[in-house]
Amino acid sequence: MTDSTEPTRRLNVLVVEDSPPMRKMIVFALSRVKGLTVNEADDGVDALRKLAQTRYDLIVTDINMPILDGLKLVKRLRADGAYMRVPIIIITTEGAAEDRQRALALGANAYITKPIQAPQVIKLVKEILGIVEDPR
Amino acid sequence: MRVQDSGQGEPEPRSDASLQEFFGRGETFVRQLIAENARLRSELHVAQPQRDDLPAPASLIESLMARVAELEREHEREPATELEPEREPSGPESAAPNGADGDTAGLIRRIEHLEHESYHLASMYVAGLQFHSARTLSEVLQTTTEVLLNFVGVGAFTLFVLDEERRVLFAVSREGGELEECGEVALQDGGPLAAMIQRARPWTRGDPAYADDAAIMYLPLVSNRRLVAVLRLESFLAQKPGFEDNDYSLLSMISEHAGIAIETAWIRAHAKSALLQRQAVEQLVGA
Repeated sequence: MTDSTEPTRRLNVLVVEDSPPMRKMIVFALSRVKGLTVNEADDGVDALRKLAQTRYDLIVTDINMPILDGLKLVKRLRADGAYMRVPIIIITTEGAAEDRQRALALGANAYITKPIQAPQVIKLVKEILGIVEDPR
Repeated sequence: MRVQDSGQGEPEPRSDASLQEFFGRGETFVRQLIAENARLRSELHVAQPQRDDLPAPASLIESLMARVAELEREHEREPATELEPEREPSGPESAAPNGADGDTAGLIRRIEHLEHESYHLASMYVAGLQFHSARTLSEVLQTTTEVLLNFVGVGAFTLFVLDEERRVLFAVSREGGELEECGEVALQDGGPLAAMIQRARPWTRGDPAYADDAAIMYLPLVSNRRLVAVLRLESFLAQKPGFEDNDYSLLSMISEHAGIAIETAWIRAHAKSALLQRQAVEQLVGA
């Protein structure tokens, strides 16, 4: 599909996921959205390092990761002035309602459970970033 | 000649003269109607001159009939089936309106279907690549876990490796439970697991589940035509209701590629470390 209103500047998205095949799939899907530059991080610590180096417009993160998990990452970012309001999407195998509530209470903007449907993730990312889809 | 009345009582006989009089009165009446119609039309023309282009009733019906025939021909020519995607789960947005909007909705659904297929093929490719780049048995197990959890949505499973000499399966990895709880599984003659070995090929859609316990299925992991391991799929993630269409091709891919990856990791672990030399490679390939 084409995007009629490509953003004036490219938007940076960081995918934080410790599972290589899952990370590749999310990056593959989001890289097809025009106007997005998609980078990846192996875990929460790697993510913090990359977030300090580059300004990101959206963060997509798993929860269960070694060293620094996704919920701790959300908590750290919401306490950080630079990333206090940057949208965060959680993608996780944790499907329980309390997990979802906890993530949203910490400041995540959306919560998707695995296995994911890539078009569903793309649609959500476009909605959050205000990328308008042209059906022609 | 007899003319029937309106059905009440006996038919009444009438003479030719009375019939001529009857038809004569009818003809006069028709002429009066035509004259009255012409007068009304002329009055209408005076009152609404802009409607002068309206076709006469007969030509109006003809033009409508022609339009109906034209639309029917268009409908027959319309390549609706080419635009129709294979049925996706229906939702409110999937109800196609008529005309041009319907064409656009059909195209959008088709594109969405193709994108869905594209991502499915990408996931197959990524998972396959991951299996073939695994160097150790633990990397194969890790990849198997990630693919089953993230791509298929199976939350609990155990991987058994085949001990060919003792004809038992022994557990080496488990997700969603304790490994110690898993004992050996004997391959009894005539049982479903023995049948799996007999079949000696990767699992494909339509094959039996081989499970004679509470498991969802036993998935054979095959290298060439030899069974090397078995995955016992025990339960789905809470949010996953069951297998979907694309899951079967993923299971088939795991059955073939995970088996090869396990055997490759096994060979790599037992092979003597050797430098890659041109002379040795050429000898191997007969160059």
